Amino acid sequence: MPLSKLLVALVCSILSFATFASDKLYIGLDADMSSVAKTGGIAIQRGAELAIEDINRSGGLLGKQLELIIKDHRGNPARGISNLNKLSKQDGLIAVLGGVHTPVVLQEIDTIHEHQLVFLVPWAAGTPITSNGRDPNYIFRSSIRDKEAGPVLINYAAKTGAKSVALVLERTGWGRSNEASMTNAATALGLKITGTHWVNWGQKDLNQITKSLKEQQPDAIMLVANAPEGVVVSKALLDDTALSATPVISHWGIAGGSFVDGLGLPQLNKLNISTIQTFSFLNAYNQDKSDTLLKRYRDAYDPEATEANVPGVVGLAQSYDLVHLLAKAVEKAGSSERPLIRDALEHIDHYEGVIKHYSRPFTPEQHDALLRDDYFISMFNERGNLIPR
Amino acid sequence: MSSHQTLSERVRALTLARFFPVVGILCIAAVVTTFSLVNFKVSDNHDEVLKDFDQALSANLNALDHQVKSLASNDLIINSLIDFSNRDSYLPVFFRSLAPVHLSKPDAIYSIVFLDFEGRVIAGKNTKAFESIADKFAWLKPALEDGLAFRSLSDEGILFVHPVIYGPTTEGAVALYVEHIRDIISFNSNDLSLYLVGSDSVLYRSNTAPAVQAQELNEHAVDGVISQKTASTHTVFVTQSYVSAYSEALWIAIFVFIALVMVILALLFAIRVSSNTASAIINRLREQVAHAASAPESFRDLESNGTEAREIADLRVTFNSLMNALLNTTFAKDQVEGIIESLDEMIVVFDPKMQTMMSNESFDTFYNATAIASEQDKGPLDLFPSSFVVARELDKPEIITTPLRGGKCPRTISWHRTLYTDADGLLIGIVLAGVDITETQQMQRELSIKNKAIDEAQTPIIITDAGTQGFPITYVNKAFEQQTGYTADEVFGRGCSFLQGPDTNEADKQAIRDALNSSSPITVEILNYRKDGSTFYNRLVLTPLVNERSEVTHVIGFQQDITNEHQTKQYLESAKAEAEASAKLKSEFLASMSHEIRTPMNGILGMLGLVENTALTKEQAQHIKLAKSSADALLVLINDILDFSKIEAGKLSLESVSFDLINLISDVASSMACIAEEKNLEIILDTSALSIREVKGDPGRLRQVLNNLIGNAIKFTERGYVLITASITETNDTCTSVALAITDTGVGIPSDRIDKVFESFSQVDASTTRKFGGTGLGLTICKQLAELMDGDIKVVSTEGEGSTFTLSASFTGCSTETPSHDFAGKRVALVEASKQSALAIENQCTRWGIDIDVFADGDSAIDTISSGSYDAVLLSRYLKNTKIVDLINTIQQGSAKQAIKVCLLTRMTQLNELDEYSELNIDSFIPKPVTQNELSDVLRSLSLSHTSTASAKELSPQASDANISLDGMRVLLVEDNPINQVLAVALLEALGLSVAIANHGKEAVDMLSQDEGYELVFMDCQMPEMDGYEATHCIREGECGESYQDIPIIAMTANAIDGDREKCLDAGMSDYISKPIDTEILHERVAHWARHIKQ
Repeated sequence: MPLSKLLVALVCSILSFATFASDKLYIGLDADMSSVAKTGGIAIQRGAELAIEDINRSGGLLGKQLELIIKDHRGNPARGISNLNKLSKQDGLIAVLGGVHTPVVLQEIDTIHEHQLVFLVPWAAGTPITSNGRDPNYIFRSSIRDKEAGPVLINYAAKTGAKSVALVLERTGWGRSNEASMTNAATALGLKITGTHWVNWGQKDLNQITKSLKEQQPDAIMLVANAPEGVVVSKALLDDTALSATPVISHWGIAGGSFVDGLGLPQLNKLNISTIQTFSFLNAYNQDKSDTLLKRYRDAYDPEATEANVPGVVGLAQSYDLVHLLAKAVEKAGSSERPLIRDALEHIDHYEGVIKHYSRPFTPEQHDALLRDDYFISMFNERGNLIPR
Repeated sequence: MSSHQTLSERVRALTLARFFPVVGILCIAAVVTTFSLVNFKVSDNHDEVLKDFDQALSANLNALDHQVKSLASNDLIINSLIDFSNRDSYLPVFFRSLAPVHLSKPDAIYSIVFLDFEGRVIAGKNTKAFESIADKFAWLKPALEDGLAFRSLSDEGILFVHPVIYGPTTEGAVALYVEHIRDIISFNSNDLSLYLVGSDSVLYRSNTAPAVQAQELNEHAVDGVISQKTASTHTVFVTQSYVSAYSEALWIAIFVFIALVMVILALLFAIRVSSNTASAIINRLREQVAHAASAPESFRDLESNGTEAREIADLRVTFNSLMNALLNTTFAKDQVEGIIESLDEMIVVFDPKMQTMMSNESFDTFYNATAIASEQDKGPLDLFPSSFVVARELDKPEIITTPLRGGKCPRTISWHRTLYTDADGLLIGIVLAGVDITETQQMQRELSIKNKAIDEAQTPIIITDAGTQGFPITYVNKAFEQQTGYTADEVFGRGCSFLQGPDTNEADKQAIRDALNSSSPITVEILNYRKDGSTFYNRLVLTPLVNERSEVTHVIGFQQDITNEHQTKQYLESAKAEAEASAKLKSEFLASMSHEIRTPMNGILGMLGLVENTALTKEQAQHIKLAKSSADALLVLINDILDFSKIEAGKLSLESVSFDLINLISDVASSMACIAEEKNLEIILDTSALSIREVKGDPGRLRQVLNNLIGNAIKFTERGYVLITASITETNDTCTSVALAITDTGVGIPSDRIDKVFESFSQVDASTTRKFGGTGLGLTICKQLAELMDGDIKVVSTEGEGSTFTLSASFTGCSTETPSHDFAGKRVALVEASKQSALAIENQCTRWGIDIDVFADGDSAIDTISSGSYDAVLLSRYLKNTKIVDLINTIQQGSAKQAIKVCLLTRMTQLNELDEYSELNIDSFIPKPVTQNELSDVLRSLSLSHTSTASAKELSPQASDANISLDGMRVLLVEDNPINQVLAVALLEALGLSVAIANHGKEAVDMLSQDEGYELVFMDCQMPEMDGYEATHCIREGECGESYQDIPIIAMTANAIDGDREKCLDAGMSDYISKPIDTEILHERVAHWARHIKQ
């Protein structure tokens, strides 16, 4: 009968279209690729691409090739949510990598769990990102966790001899997350907090803050801000001789954007700025792996790259390790179903990463793979590169 | 006369005939003028209304726009896009509190809304009004995609949108919507109707205005008068009914009519009066002519005197003109002559017979100065070539240089000739006019020379016009054309920036712009581009030219191609940086290599030490000894290289701990005594001038420098002595400078080499190296170390006689120790052949207040000593021609009343060879060199001190800590290297300790957890599984039980690089011993901690 033949043909064509559509597996990237933290976004993209290349070269995942879909949220949570809604419609999507901005991820938590998106955080450090109270929790991080970073930064301040510190924080969930951890750490060490100062995104005038800093005369300034506000704060400090000599101990937000370009080398060299990092090619845990990664980075992106000058190097390394951890979880789950991948992530035994040897990186209780022992302090050298101390 | 009309009749007839048409024209003109006037007034009134309204509208719109713009750039608004926290509570409150300015009515309908990146409302005031019209305006793309401000007036209302921008991108927007334009502006008038028209509709009409269509207004198809004013977004119309507009015109018309009637009446009256007057005039004329004829020189024009017939009028006119022509000629001639006389130009006129008709004063002055004037038979005509004067036609002036009298400079005059002819072309005169151009010509010549110089100059020169925007080029020379490849014509009128290109430094460009704008000179080095696109570095010097009013008129630029200079400079800079980097790299490499070698050396030395203590044949023992001394020498070399490279790499820093300076110097001198004595040299130590004991500094490094200097002195001295003298050179509250002079009687240093002894790898010459060995680094390191101690090393030397190396160093925290003895008033005899040694001892004793007599040999001493009342005799064992045993016997037997105490000064190496003195009653022995401590101890033991009860001096070293019993103390050694394990166990067991071994940190933690008996832990740092730092951390955290939280942990590491000590202590370790392990240091530290534990 001609009608039944037609139906068979129709069904076949639909089936073949369906197989064609899920021929590949996809990882989404939802990060700031064009605005204030694009350095970080691009580093994350490159880390992910290099890891995907590794995986595809050795036959892909579950026999399928892996591909990265890049969405730009420009640091705007509303755009991020919109990106996630679009990504969730993609067939074969196994996970989404996030970006630099904590406020964006914090606003995305509902959307992530609504669509059951396995969300991997290679940078944003806010404590509530992983401690989000969800069960099951779909967010996994290989990066700094503020609650852990606060003590490291404050300890470092104490180690350099500071008796009192001032906090300069951006007015977002990230800033608040650090206020809590730094205040606790300072109280524990007996450090005096001379004042807590809040900086809005886009703020240009810091007169009020510099005035009170001058009055309070802290031994060190703890800075939690992204590159543009970091530049504004640094310039305000440089305007005053006493303040410009005060050491600035910064969270790594300044390393995710064009902080050095924005401030200028001569200005940078006048300040004493240190920042927290998790990875540097200069003191890599696994020399062979890091050498190989650097060589491939040079071949793929920047022939001039050295151990010291890879921009947003932590994003590169964390994203690289996270994609590999994801691949391990997918193999373990034997499925591209996101809830199964999520469960598998919590049960990876160990993995030899470029940052460290991950032993049970994630558990149902602990979704942070890197903790305070994995952090160290770096300083800018005269060329504006971050050099571990 | 009767055939003529009377003048009065003629005038009336003529004027009245023309009067009436003129009146008609006047009436028409009056009507037209009145109408125009009224029209103009109405239109003027409308224009004013339109202007006022439009200005008010623009002002209000701009104020609202500005308000929206400031909202959009408010950082609270920006931040709320990123930080959602609490924004749902504070944003609505914030927006509710907002009220637009210039909304004239309280019931105005408006919205202020805050939108996200897709145009969705986040918060706002009266958001519904906005949402109902949002899609009727095309604002979404311009505001949110292009990031531009949006403003629109339409019949839907007015919408202002400003993007909210963070970083480079638009992330949201703020919008203000007002539904009715009347809420923003209003216009009230009874006569006028006002309409605001948008693209195709009426957006607003005033209170009394009737409703009309926009099209009617645009086509002016409304009743009454209409005016309009058009702006970019809208047009404003004003209309007024004819009745209202022209009500004023009626009054003006009546007024004009009355005025016209009055003018006509006045004119008629005037005609009558004038015709009567004419008759009177003619009579007066006649009388005047008669009068004029009688006295022509005082002639005034005859005045018309009224009714004048034509003939009489003609007569009068002709008469007047005749008289005037006559008078004018005379008058004009006087005027012209006056002008000519006052001219600077020379003027001379010749008649056709070449006689001077006239000349002015300038010419006369000039002529009288010429040489020709003084010659006979010559006149002004002889100034000129005859061809010039009489030529028929001339096309240019003649330049003639005329010599002057009395040797003055000749003058150059430019002469113009004019032939003066009458109406028939007949020559009347020749006019010559001359201008003195001597100075002008001179200036022109100079100018052309300078122009030539600039044109041909090798330096590219460029001149721009500062008076014109953009500084256009007005001149460039040839060198500029050659340098840049541009021709002059190509660059005229252009600004200079075409020489700049993409790689030109922005700061340099800005510097030039700033200098041009501030009219200040500038010199910059800037990258420029030639016409063919090639680049060159240009040193550009810009100098502004100022006119007499101090305004900059031009800017001159001088250019110089410095590409080669620039390249050389860059090359030198990069070469320097490379050289420095490579030197540092080399030093770092050496440092790390030396360090790496130390670890195996440690093993070799330790193992050799262990083998040495086993049963060996004599031959084996000899081989082991050789191997050990070779290894020792190698270690010294490695240490030298390590020190040197650390210094070069800037990684060496000094400790600051308290130590006894005199003890340290004494120790070093004593330890070197054995080597010296092997070469039969004497070491003499004189610390008598050192009044301090406790100082703060780096004892290890000081010891190293002294060892080196004394070692060198011994090495380069064949016979004689090495004298070590200590003194204080400077002292203040915080700091004391000490000088330590090491004088030898050796080979000395040639004067031409003395400057080089401190250079790296430098010895006096190559043969020195062969003869004495060594790396040649020792002195370099010593000098650097001395400098680190804020001091220096200086050398004075005479070849063949010896050298003196003086080490100076500064110490802080110095304290003077009060002696625990009192030797004042005691008498001592010293028998010592060596003058230097005797002097040193004498100095020390004198300082203590001892009365000392010195004798150079036994013979001279014996009598005095026997007879004198000495408390003690210090006797050198090495006296020429004297048998010591006999001498002692003599002394002791000779002193009858009281036994003289005898103390024998002997070489250190011979301390064990005292058998021959065993029979004698010798009270004490002092090894040479005689140190302050030993001397005081011995003197005290001889009961010379009034206060001391100290026991006799023991010849074995004192060791307070060492007295602590270490036997059976249980220690845990954490070490991964098996060689180091064997070595350390041997050393520790030699001290009586009981040693257990853990292969790495993890194992150590386990062992400690299972056994509570350990008293001390030795911890290597770098180990597999768990390193020493982490293991220490675990122990301190109590993972091995509370009892171990405070156990002493001594780091044992080959890391001799600075900073390791701090790293270990930071990690919670208690102490630090560096490898290779020094047995004495080990013993000392173990004893220290044993005592600590016991306490």
